[in-house]
Amino acid sequence: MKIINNKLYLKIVFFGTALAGKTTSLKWLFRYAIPDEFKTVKQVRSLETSFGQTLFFDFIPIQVSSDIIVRLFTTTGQDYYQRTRRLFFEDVDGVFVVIDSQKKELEHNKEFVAELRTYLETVETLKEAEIVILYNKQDQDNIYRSDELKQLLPLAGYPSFPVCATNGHNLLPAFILMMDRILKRLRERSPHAIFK
Amino acid sequence: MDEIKTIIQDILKRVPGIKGLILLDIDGIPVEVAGHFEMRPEDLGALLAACYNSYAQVGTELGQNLDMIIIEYGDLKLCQSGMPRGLLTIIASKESYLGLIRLEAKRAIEKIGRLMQDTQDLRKSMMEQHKFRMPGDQDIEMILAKLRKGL
Amino acid sequence: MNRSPKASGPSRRPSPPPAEEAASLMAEAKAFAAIWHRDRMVVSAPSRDQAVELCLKLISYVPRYRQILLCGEVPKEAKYLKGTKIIDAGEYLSHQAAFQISLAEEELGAAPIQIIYFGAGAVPYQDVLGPLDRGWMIVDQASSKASVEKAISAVQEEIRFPPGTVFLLDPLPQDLTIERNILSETRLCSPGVREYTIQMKETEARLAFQAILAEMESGKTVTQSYLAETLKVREKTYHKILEIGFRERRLDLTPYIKETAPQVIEFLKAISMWNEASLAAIFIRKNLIGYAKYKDIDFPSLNFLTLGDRVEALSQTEGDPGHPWILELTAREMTILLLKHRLLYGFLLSPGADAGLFRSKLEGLIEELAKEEMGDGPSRVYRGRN
Repeated sequence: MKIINNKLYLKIVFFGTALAGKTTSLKWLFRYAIPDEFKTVKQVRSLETSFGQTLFFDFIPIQVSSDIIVRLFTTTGQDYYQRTRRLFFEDVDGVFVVIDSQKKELEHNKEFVAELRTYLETVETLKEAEIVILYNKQDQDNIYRSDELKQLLPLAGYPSFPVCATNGHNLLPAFILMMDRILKRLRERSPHAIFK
Repeated sequence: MDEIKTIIQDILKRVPGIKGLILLDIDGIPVEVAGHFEMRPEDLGALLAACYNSYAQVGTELGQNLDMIIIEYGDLKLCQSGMPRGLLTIIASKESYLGLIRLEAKRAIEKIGRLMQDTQDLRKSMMEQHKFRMPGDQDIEMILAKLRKGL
Repeated sequence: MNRSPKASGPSRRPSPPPAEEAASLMAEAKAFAAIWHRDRMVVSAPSRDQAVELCLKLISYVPRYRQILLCGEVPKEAKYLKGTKIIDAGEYLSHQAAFQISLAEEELGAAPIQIIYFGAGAVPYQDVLGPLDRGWMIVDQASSKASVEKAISAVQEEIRFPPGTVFLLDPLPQDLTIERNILSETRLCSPGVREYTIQMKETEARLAFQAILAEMESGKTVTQSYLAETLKVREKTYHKILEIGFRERRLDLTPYIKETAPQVIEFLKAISMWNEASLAAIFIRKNLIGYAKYKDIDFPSLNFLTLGDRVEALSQTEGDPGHPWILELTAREMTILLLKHRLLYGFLLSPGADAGLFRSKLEGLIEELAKEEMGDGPSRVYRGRN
């Protein structure tokens, strides 16, 4: 989080393998779940940011109160950008880990979770961030159920939801849980940077 | 950050032809805006960050970190200078002197860059000064209630 | 000739050869060019052994990708040469038919042939080689210009090439600069290095021609500037590539390639007088119509287009596409300057160059060029061979 000009900026990212459903989740939340009064933009923005570094993502800013702005981002999920991920996690408050539940993706998922664990252990701000797991594509055939994935992937201990990003199943409950946790922890923590 | 505000306002007043200055932080959030703009600062910040990074990416691919970007388009001149944790954009009229703007931009980012150093000490001292009110239980419940309406 | 192993390599340009050596070098360059261009020739020396010796020298100029066909009274020295095929004596007419088929297949991309016929007496010229318009050499002894002209064809050029003479039956290529440079630069090197340099250049030309053809077949608009940059060749090499391609595949690609306009050449020349630019590129839409590299620097001109696209994309959000604009990117070691003013101009400035001064000098030149009318497509579109 950051405080700039007396406004608090929170950062939530969707992190997952390529085509796991990160952008679909973000777009569904924006279209169907975020109340209009929170929206400060008309559509999901595609941006390149972080100066001097390559970071492509979709992003939406939402203003949940007069002085709190939540910025939601997705990563590209492509290996090419792996080197920029550390930067992506800078000042992060919440991470939705999006897992592709298809059986054929298991190996990718294992590698991805191993990478995530490295970040969780080494990136300071990520250590304090809220993590929520989204087991996506639960509506498809040839998938592992979320309880099976909990056994197969070392992600125990984090709250999780079986979701379907295309019809939005369970996305809003997951988002509410994330917001609840972040907001309630606000008073326990210091912002990462303040510019008045 | 009164010092940053002073530096930016000072350039606006002193240099002829400058219409405005915008200082963005590393995520494209406007830290300081001087001059009059029709766009919302948030949108303007996103646009300018996208603009700068679009070019900076080419520089990165060429193995070069860009120091300054100047764009002249129509009646405007845009001078963008990157620093480790921010981006300063100067917007000037067609008639302005580019040499002077270059010089001002160079001098400003040196000073601002130092001020934007995100050190632990600075954070602490600013925490003590900041006027931000952390949300109470009631505020949080109100936000969550609005979200729950969608369930 | 000094061929000591301590002699310098081809990358170091040796001092100019003395007059006598220069004459011999010129003779060798002519023979090299004639073989590379697949000209018809008669090679002769006072004795049979000397004629074979001369022939073996000339074979080192034949590109390795060509199929060498040895016919007639093939001497034992030539029988075991790598990459050659001996055609047994037989029906002359069947030889002739086979050669003609081979030449026809070259047009479809088959390896070009080089026929070497040993012994003029063994050559039924009228029946076998007469109808073939390129790619053959007769190796004989004690021939004179008069005897060659009487028995075979008019001699266009007679080259004294110890230990014998080469009678060229086709006119020599006009420009021998490349051949002369290769031979001159490697004159102090071992024969191995010299052969390597010759073969490398010949193979480069062949591959480049294939690449140009592929580029055209893909439907791309091809300009001379684009080829100069992408193939990294200078103008003379570029012409050589097309000439050799024509001699080997009977494809004249020249009409399909847009030449650099004289006014663009003048523009690029004017910039070379100043010290600021390392590279300049001019585009009409996506087509590179002018390109000059003033310093040895690796910077694909495509970067200018990428940046230009970004400016256009961002400026379109302002609802005013096609408007002139200027973009200047400064990094520690270089400055990129991009100007859109009817044409798109891209410049890479040298470290420390004054971008402001360069821009002010450019204004007049750009105004001049903007007045000229320049087409932006090739004169013809290549649609493959029928």
